[in-house]
Amino acid sequence: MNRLHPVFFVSILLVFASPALAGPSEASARTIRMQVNGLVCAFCAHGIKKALSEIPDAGDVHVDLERKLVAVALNDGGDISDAELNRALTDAGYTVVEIARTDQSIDSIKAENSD
Amino acid sequence: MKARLGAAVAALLLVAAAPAASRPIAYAGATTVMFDAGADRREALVFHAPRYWYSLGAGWQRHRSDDPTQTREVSFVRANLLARRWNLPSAQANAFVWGSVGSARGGGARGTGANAGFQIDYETLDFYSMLKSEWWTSSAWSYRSDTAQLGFAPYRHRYGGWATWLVGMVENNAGALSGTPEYSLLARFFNEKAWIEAGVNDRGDPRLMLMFNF
Repeated sequence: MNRLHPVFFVSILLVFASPALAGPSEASARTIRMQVNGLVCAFCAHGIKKALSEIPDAGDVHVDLERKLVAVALNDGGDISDAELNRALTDAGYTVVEIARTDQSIDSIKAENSD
Repeated sequence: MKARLGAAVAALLLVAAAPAASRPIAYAGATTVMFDAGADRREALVFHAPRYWYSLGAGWQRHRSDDPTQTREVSFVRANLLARRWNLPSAQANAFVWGSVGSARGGGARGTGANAGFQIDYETLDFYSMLKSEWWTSSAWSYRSDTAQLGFAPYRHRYGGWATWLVGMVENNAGALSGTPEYSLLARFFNEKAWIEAGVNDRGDPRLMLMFNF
């Protein structure tokens, strides 16, 4: 009986595993998480929610002062570029430190820090 | 007579420049309405911030005196600028400057004048500090007002909920109606759209401030 070369099996595994290793693609990401500096006051931070809500592909926006986190849900099939996110937060008077896309829902992100 | 008129105008300018307790700019696109009432003073202000770093507004203030003939009113327009902001991982610091021009009346006098001021603040979720100074000038007088605040939060507020702060404040108006420093203790409550502040000074006079963002 012929035995398939091990390299063949490794190659097949890599083809199917690479999407999981790379993280959610832009097409599959549901939420964008941003670490933001300067988040200390709800009265002032409302400008962030206002700015992000005006972006067409933005859904629900969550601001977490304790974790210095701003999360925005993406509308189905949509995405927001890092440049646009940086511009929105900068125009709101804040500094973006990190942007990450995740397939985690915004409701589960909200629940992470709930009592 | 001229010196008395100048003194009255200068006093009115002092009233005009009596500071609001919070920052002069809320956020980009915000229109802020503020009402402030103390035992002897009433104030109303409206500001709009086209960008997060500047706002324009107008205000009115009435200062009551035990002698009704000395009751004063002032109307003014004002521009505020966020000169510098520091966004830190767990804090924010700001430096504001502003200038205003006003029309003042009272005690039979009416005049115009101008003021300029600056404010610096440093804030975390637990601690708030602020220093503010303003100068006024009229045809006969120039003088200065200084304010300092320290605030502590009994708990860390969340976006979407109410924040609670206890704030100690000292105000000193040098060269104006009274040079005596005034000490006040305030309770401050706010969320993303409303701000309520109530307290009392060392003379037992109450104070209430309401502020709303639209």
